[in-house]
Amino acid sequence: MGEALLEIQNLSKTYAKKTIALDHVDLTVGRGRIVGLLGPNGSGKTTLIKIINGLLQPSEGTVLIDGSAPSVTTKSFISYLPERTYLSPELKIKDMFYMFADFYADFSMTAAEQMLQGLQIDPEAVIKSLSKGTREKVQLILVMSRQAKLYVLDEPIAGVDPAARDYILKTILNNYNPEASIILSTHLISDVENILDDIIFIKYGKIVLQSSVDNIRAIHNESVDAYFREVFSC
Amino acid sequence: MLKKLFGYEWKAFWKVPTLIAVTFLVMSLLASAMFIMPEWTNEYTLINLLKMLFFSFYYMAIIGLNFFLLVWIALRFYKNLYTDEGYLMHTLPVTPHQLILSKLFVSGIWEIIYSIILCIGIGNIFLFVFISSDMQAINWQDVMRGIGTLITEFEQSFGCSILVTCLTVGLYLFMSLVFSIMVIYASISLGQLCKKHRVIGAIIVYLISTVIMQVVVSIIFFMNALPSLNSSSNVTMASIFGPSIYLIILFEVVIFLLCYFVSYYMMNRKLNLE
Repeated sequence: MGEALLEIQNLSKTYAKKTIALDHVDLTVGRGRIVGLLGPNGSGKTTLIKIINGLLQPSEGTVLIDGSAPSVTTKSFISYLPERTYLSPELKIKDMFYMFADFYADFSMTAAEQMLQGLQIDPEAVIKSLSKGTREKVQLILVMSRQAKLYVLDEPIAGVDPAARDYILKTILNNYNPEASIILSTHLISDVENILDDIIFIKYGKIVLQSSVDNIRAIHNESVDAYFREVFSC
Repeated sequence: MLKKLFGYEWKAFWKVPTLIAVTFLVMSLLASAMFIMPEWTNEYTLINLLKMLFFSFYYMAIIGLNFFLLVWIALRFYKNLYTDEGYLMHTLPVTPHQLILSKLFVSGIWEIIYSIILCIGIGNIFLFVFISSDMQAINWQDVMRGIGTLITEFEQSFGCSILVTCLTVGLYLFMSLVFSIMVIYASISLGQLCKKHRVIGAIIVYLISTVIMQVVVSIIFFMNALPSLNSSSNVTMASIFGPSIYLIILFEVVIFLLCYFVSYYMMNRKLNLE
């Protein structure tokens, strides 16, 4: 797995009324890996992702990304795709590109323009005039046009049609920095399992399993999707 | 990064307040023009009615101008930092200090612009009345003498020079402007502690804190003004308002700093976007 890019130790997050979202999580992600963070809705995936991105403070434990706790430094090399669309509706697509270029030193305008051209989307289009699916694609282009160390993609294929899913996965694979790692959260496992190197199963805020995809196939002699259904059967 | 944030904040902020400001200035010009029109005779009651209606709107616009700006400042802060757009803003490689300061600078500049526009709008009417009067009949020496007398009487009744009064009032107005912005920011940030209905939570925090601060300001004023009012000798406006206005400015500075650190703390330690 090589040198660790992400190290999480004893991480817990408790919300008001003592709802436990994460319960003493330990995990390590190496460099150059594509990791699937898999779990049913409400299992703690988004909470974990928000903590990695500094959008939530943990109740307990430590998170280190390339040796630094979530901070301005880590934000400069983590490329994050949230579940929500954060594009300003009144801006044009090209304005968002300029904004990313202004704030992120690792943003490649050429890569962004090429991807946009590939989809035949007009860079002059105002965000509010775009369909939901197109907005999601533009957001993915922004995120994948960075040469980041860590890409954190929260449910990138949820809520889009199968054709768009293929495009999104192709974009992720073709554009990420090969020395970087990708953490991809989803519950649509069959769609992503072919691109994953490792998987993390999370349930009720606890890590149930962390393993390579090859191991699962070899040991259990079944696909990740089938094994997931087995582990998370109600 | 602060400069870049300021630039993007300005771009996102300016359009609607500019539109409102231009509309207000046009209304001011119309109001001025109507002010110097001769009175219509009874045959034109409809025109008189429309004129009255227009002036009602204009007075409402004067009162509502700053209120609109405060609402716009609140909306912009809330939408950009605590709704979906917050997922981008809080993952940019910038600090919460830079986020707050960039918004505070832009909002502060617009507060000053609106104060100037309000002065122009109202001053405009006086200017029109003055220009439309019979200029030949004005004795300029009398006017200058009158201004001189006015300043002397003002200084006598206030008990301090007009320059000191203007500087003090200017400082008070400036502090009140930035203070009111910071109270809005802190209220919105504290409203995020509510699990649901965060906007309502923010409004409640704002209303309660505003009432409490008004009570404190009133207490500061009366505690300082009463001894002066009770004394029989040499009561001037400066002796009544002087001590309280400096204490009120100090109070606003303290609350401003408190609100700043509440907003910072909420973004740094308690952020929980929906």
